[in-house]
Amino acid sequence: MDCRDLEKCLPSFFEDLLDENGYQEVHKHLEACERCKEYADNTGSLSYQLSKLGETVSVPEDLTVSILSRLKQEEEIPETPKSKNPVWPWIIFLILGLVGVFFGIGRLKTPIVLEQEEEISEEEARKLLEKLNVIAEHLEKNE
Amino acid sequence: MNEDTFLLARYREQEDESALKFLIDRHLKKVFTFIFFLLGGDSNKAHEVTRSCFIEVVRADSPKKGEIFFLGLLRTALAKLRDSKTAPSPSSYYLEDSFRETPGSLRIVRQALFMLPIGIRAKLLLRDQLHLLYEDISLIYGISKQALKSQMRQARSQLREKLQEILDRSR
Repeated sequence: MDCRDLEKCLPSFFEDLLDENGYQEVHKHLEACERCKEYADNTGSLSYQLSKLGETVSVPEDLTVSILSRLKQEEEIPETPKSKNPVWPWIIFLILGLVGVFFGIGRLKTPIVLEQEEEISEEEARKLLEKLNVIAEHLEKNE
Repeated sequence: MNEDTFLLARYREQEDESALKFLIDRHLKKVFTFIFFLLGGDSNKAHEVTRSCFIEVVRADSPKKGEIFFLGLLRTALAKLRDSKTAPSPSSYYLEDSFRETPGSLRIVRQALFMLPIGIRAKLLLRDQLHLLYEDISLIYGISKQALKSQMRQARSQLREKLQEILDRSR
């Protein structure tokens, strides 16, 4: 496309009435030809102004570095693979089990603790042993 | 295999960071500008969203079948910003540093653009600023070319209406 062709196409280009090839050709020509670009600027339409508006934005200088370093960081800390078998039902099961065991032992433990608390004196123990010896002697005699 | 796919594969398979840098630099300006205008000129937020879009698309295990890298970036950005309510209030239009050097006529176009809903704004930017083919835009939105062309006509007419409103107010 030369500059004359462009001049003819420009109104249709501005109204977005060209086919894809025509549209892309005009766009490429405007990018390459300073004179036509100036001409289009002066006679510009809304679509062209939107295109020009994009040129007013500058990309932050550190953005590429920022993307690269974030990617690197994420690679160093690998994501924990998502398991097909979820863990949470097992955790709930474990907690319920622990709670059950805790209360169960609590109930079983209570009488044992009480028995241990009933301490007997040395005298009582001696008397008890004497009784046991008497019973033992009695049994031996009977045999 | 297109160039982008080649560069991405080189990074993934050989950990070639220079290939990735080249790939990012190739599309950064367009993607950042697109997000910047969608966000109503919020440079910091645009920085953040652009970065997360690149990371998401680079790390994607299985990109959408047949989708090229650049379209993937734009689709991701749109998905992130579809429900965005970050368009600035009219009073803040002129406070943005990035716009200080913008010529007068463009300022009005920008102001009108920011008055449009984000969905309409996105379509105008994809076609008139990024010069994407109708075919590619319709792929991003998953609609037919005919439907897209009709939506584009409506979008342009809404932009003209907003421009007229601004001009009428300034008289």
